[in-house]
Amino acid sequence: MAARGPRYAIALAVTPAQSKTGQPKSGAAHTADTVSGPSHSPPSGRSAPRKPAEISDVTRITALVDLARGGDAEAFGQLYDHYVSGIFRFIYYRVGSRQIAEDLTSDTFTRALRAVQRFTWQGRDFGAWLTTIARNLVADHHKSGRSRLEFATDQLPESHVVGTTESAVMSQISNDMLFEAVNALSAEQRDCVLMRFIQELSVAQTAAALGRSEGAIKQLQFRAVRNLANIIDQDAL
Amino acid sequence: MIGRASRSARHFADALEWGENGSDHRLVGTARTVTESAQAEPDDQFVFELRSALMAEASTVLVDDPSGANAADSTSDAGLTAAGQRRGRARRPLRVLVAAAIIAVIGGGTVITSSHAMPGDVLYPVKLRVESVQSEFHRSDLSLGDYRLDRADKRLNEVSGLTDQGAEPELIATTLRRFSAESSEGASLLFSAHEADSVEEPVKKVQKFAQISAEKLEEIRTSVPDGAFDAYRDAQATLDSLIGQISTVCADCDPETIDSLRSSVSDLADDDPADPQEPKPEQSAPNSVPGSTTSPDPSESRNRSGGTDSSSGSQDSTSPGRGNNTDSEHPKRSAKSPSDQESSKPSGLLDPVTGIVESLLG
Repeated sequence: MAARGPRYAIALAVTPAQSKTGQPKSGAAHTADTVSGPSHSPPSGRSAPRKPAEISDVTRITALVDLARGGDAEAFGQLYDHYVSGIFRFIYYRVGSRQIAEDLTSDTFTRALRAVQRFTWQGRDFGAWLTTIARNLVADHHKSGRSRLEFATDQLPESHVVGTTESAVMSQISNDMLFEAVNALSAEQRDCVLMRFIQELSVAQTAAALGRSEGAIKQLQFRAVRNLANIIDQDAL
Repeated sequence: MIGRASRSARHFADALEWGENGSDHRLVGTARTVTESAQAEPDDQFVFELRSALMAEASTVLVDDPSGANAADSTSDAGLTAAGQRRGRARRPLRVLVAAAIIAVIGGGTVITSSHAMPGDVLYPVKLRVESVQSEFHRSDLSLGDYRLDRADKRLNEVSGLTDQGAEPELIATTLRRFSAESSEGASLLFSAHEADSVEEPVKKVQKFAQISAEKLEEIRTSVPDGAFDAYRDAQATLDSLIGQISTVCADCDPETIDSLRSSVSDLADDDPADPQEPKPEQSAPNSVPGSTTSPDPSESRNRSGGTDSSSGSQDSTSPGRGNNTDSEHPKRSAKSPSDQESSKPSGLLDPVTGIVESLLG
């Protein structure tokens, strides 16, 4: 690891994308997806033309992944910084426990670290790859019988229903309602919603993570959100 | 009907993408509501601690790969890269001295105290990091492999202690997975040493390790809680795989001894509760990734481990089973000539120390 420190200078030269509480999570997961597909805008309808910052992010992620593949620990650390929030959210709204989500997030990145040097770009996206690791670990977790479906609402900042079902557009719903609604969907629709709208992966990344075509993901997300709207409306009544 | 559904899906996707408001306006609002409501974020402390642990582990897991470095350079800004390299080289000696001083003055007592820490203890992460740093002092495959098997043995002793204490199943499972990871990696190094030097000593070490470990796993079998039994089975599968490799590569090993050992390891899994390896219905990703246990091949599933610090993360991208993986675990290391290994060591030797100090300094 002779060139560990210096080779990530390019990465340090670009503002790191972070998604923290209270801020749009747009930088957390979808920025690298242009590497693997054209559909890269976040689902909240942000402008489609690629901004310079997004291009820099793509360059930065690409460089970091290549450095990590070459054995650069700090590059992997920066990838971790970039993706940890999204991966945590994906897991958290699947398992409903902060503790378990932290454990599985740790497992996800530990496994990724051990395999990153064999990661190849061909047909892959790094964010989607991480998400697939997380998804498999969650599946193993549920299969092992350790799953807890109760949702620890006391550990989360509460959000409230704002608006009415008539207006059909609510600004926020509570975390337990969100957890229950998402997990009431079929497995595939649930994972699609988690990736697209909670983790904020792109269509291309979600397609890569789920092993489906982008067209299939578009149909899946449509059906999933339609079902989700019905579930939320029923719960809100 | 199908065409209309497809159109609606496309319109919805476009509305999400471009912010258009059409007939699916309500659904776009639902999608935004979901996004804006998902406020969960990991704790800062958790993020920091996990990063520190990953950096410590990276010092032992990541292998300097010149081809990867070249690939990286091709996508990076060459000017920035070169400048950074010069700065890094110049600062390294100073950083090492500072690291050594801080560890000696501040960390010494902690390190000594941590040597007896058990999983779940506050100082246990320190113990693991110290071990990781120590591993850098083992230069040859034989020495490092031996050390990794020692670490595996420590993990198994810790499992024994944890089961005696009635510790949480998850803690036991994690420690068992660490055992599997260390076993697999240590054996891989020793098999590489065997191939390079054509001597039986490394294989004999693996055999002895497998024998002792099998006995210890047998001792704790009835004490392992259900929640940790998957990890226990992974540990058993790891040993089983090692024995399979021993029988393949060791010309001098007594076949009867090997068969006996294999039998005793196989017996470890006899009483485990039926837990068919059900494929995950939703699993359809074409690319095999770490964490996946969905292989239709039962031996593949069996040979994977499934949790924290498991070596399976490095085993499943390219190889169908642990037996093959051990050969590819350290491709660069095994491909290098002894002189190459020697020459590549000095910088790698000191990086973990600097990493720890940098972590300490925040």
